[in-house]
Amino acid sequence: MKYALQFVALLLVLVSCATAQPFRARAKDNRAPGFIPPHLVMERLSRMSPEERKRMLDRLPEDKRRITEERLRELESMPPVARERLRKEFNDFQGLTPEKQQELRNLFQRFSKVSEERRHELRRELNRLRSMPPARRAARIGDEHFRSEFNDEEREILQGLVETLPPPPPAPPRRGRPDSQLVN
Amino acid sequence: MTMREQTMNCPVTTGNPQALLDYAARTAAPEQASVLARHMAICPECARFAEAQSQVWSALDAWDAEPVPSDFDERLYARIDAESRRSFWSRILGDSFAWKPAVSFAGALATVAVALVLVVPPNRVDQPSVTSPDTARAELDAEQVERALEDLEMLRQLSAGTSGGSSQAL
Repeated sequence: MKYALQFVALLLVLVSCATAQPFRARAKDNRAPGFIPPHLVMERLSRMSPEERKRMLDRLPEDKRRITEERLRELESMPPVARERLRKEFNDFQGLTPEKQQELRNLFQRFSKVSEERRHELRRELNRLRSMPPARRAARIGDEHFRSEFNDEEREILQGLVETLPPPPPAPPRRGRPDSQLVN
Repeated sequence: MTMREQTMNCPVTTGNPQALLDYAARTAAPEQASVLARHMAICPECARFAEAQSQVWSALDAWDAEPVPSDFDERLYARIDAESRRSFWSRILGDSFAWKPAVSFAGALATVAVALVLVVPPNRVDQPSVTSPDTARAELDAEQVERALEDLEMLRQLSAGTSGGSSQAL
């Protein structure tokens, strides 16, 4: 009775599929209640009315709520071109692995501890390095001028950022489109 | 041509071929066989039918059936009796079924199925669900917004001055 054997095997496969899929779905859903992919968060936020947004932000502790509100205001006041560029950078950032994203956050913490004056220099150098082709960038990082211009910590931050950040988005157009939405 | 021959209804056209079947089986009465033979001489349809039927009979005559063993009935009844005493699972799975290889095989298949389910990302889970705007708003978590804004702040700080926009921190 070979058909009986096939029937049992098929039954087992079907049972496995039927049970494994919901378990996996539940596991994913359990990552966080009401989980929304990060790249959709700002888009969802932009659809909220001021009252809804306030209600949501009120769930945060006072200090965090204040900072978040301030950041939102700044974001909304950005020129459309800059906002569009930031949206692209954010989407590219979301495309990185969680490990890479965390690596960038760690580097940014170190970057934030540098004085404002040096941060300005680091930013300028970072943008310059990111716009270079890899060979030229490697030559620049290896040259004496670069070594003398930045200390060990700064060089490490710069190198880490250049290696971890996604390629910069293409140059923005001259005129930005009117856009009432937040990033994304 | 006799009156009977003239008045005979054609068995094929009237849809009553029994007379022809009897003729081919050689069981028709001599008189009827004679009438049919005369009819077939002038009716090609009936002639063809009778010829085909005769070939069947010839084939059957040529066939030698296997001799039935003397204990056929005894063995048949013994088997029927044994079948009625078999358990439900024995009847479902058959005599040649063995649990050991079947379980191994099923286990292997189940493992492959589970592996496929775990490796292949189910789209219905990964894709953001299509919800109404109201539902979406309700699901949005303040901490998610906070984290997203922190990341935006970081990216803005790192790329400040490249877009012509404000370099002021968020």
